[in-house]
Amino acid sequence: MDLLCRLPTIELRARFIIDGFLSGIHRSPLKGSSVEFMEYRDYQQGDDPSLIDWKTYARTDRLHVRLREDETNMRVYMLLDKSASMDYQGKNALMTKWDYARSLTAALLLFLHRQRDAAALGFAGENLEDFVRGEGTRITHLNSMMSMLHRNADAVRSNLLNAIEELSFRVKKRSIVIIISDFYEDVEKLKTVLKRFKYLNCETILFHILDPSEIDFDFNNPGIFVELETKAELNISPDLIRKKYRAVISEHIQNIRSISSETNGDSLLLPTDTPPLKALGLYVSKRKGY
Amino acid sequence: MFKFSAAIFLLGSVTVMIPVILHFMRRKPSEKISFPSFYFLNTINTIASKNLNNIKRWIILILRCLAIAFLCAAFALPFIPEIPQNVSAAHVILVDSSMSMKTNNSTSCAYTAARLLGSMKTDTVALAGCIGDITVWSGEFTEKKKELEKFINDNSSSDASSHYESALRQADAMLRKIKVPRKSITLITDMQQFPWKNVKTDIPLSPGIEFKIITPGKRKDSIKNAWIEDVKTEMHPGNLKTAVTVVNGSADSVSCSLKVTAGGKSQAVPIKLAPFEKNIFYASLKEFKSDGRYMSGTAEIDIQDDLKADNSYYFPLAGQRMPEVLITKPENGKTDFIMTALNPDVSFSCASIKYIDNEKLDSQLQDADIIILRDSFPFEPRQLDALKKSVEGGAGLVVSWENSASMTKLLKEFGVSVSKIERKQGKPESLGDVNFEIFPFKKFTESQAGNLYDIVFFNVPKLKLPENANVLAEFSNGAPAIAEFPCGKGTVYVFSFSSDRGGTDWPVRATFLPFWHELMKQFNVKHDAGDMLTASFKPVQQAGVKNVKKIDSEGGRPLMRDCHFIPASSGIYLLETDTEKKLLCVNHSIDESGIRYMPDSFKPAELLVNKTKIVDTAETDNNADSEDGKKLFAAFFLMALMCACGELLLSNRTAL
Repeated sequence: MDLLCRLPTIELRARFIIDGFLSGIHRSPLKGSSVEFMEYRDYQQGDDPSLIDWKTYARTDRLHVRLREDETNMRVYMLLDKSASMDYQGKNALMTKWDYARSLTAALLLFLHRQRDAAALGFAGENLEDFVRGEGTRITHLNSMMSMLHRNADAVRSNLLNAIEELSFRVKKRSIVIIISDFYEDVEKLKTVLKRFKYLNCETILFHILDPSEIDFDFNNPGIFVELETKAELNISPDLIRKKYRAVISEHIQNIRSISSETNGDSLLLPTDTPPLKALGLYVSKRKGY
Repeated sequence: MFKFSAAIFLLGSVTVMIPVILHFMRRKPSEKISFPSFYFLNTINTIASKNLNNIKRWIILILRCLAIAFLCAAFALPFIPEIPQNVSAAHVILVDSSMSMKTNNSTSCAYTAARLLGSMKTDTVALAGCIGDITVWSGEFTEKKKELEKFINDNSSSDASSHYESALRQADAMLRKIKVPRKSITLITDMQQFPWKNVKTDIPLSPGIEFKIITPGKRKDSIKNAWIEDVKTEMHPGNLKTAVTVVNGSADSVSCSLKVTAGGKSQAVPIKLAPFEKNIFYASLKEFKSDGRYMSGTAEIDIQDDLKADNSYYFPLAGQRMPEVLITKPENGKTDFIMTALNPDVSFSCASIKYIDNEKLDSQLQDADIIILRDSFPFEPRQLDALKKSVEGGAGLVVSWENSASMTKLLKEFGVSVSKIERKQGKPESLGDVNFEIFPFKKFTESQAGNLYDIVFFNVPKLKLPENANVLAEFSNGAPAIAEFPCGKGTVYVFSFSSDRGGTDWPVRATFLPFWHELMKQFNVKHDAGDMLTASFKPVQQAGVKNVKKIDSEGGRPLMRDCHFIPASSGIYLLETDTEKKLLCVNHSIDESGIRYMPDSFKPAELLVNKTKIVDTAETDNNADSEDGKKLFAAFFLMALMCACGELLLSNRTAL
């Protein structure tokens, strides 16, 4: 983790994460996902004649149409929460949540590129911002999405739910939706918007990014707490509320997990002091299902 | 309540202000802490938790202050003072419980003490001591005056004499230990002159201690006492005359009986004395025979007064002392059995014995009470005359037969002739008839005295005695064995046997020693009592005394202190020094009997306090080393530790 943090760019971090992930496995997690793989179907009236595979016709005397690569690979929609709360780094963490999320997103993008999966990336600000639909698996597309990650988490007023809802209008059926956020949202409302993906037969993966201090609330001294998003201040004695806070945050994490499973999805808590390899593993396991 | 020995450490409690100041300075924490979202904090950080936070902060502050305070208190060495707080004065009441205070108004002393205690304020503490041979103390300083009254009532009467010096020193030491604004010592006494003689003038009392004397009743009639001041004796043949001086120290006249006893004889004489009168009364003991056994007599007045110890008086009888014995030296190589019998032990000597020195014979004869001749001594005619003169003057002569011409000549001088001398070894003789009714054989009537008839005598002569001779014992053949006859004022004893082993085996028998002791008692001493038997009043301390033995039948124990004989009780004592032995007749002190009053101008403080030797006493309040002090230190330290732990617990600090 320390080495990951020292990597200067997210591209390097992405490669580092991928290499680390792949070094732990012996074969490609996704069988048959190569350029040559194609799928055939019977010719239907109205199909483009250029897609007819004449060799197959010669062999079988039946007309078959060759499907495009992108029609065989998965579409992955990633939504990255860029609210100001993501720009938090606790005393025990080596990077901010935003850097962590960006690194994870970059790793996923790189992984998707290698797997010839189509990726789309959007940012959750007040709404869905800077949404980029993946056009194939060209390197230029990857680079452009990577470059989008070079930004700060500065959304003062972010509305993750709106962004998710807006994304839901853009996703195609049977896609994987990855939402990377700290999910400081109402669980029920989140559940409502996530259900939309369920109706679209999309599978959602919620990567719940939290700093260890957000989980443990290991503050010792009383102080004036300043919220990153609104700059609001609260005079808090951590000793007094620590126990209750931990209970509440644990419940919230559990709730997030519950609603993700209810909405045909999954969630993973990713403290920023742990390498995001598990995230890749989760994605791969979901991808296998397709 | 407790006090602190090292109160300087209490200044450290000023540091309590530090957490207080910090507490108020940090009421609004200045540290700003970034936090991603208040989504949950808003609901958690309610008003209740804010109030709880404030309470907790106050509790932490209090615990911090208490921890500092307890720590400072612990190092200030707390202790519980011996006397209660807020005490304005401490008094020591010394009560003279000597014999002179033992009066019909003995309660007056206790009453005076009670009045003194009653006059004390409630914020004073007091301590009582009763002075006798030792000072008995009531305990610790206390506010309970009634308990002190009871203590004084129970202990203010004794037969002892007072030792003020020791009591004053102890009182001074006790008052030095405590810190009160006023300290005083009050002595309740009848102010006798005699006790004051014992008071040393170099006893320093600590500065700030007041001293005063209270007499329980200044009227002269408060004590009733009459005593025997002196007894003089005159020995007449068959009559002992005594002149007894009796003093009435009371304001009332006394009538009582004076009884003089000596030598088994006594006479009672009624006497009358006017108030404060001193008079001489005479008593005679008729048929009194001074046969050497009695060395003293007693005079007693049977009066019911306040001091009974001085109602009897021991007086010496004239001329009673250990006799000076002159004896011939035995032949070389022969054991001196007679010397051994007369001086068997250093502490058991019945005579002062010297060997005849031919060159000093004249002076020896002059001083000798008894001359023992057991072998022929080459008396020159002049010396023989001197010998005879000495015997006629009152000395005793014991002649033990020796078959020699000089002995025969000597005996002839005294009227004793030898009618028959055994020339050859005759049969041994034993005593046949012994006159046990008279001395020296009267003692042998006692069953333990031993058997005289077992004694064997050899080569006994047959002596012809003067007509006025008294045969005390005969041999079994009827010849006189021991006889006595007067010679002028003296007495001559003739032993018709040789006193060494050649003439008898008596020296090795148990009866030999008591016989010679009894014999010595028969001889009157021609000197007066002089320095051999003296009468004295207490407290005459005799210096240089190696050993002392009480020889009369009265009770009491000789008191010796650093080779000083202290006559603590009346009686007759045999004193032994390096150079002499003497008898001391000790009577009750006249000074104890006499009541004196100090003039009003008398200031005892001037006597007691030597200004050049006043010692500045250091503060001795540090009782922190006491068990209570250690416990208090431990308690305070533990409290400090507990407060510190509580503070750590509440403030959730994991490290200091």
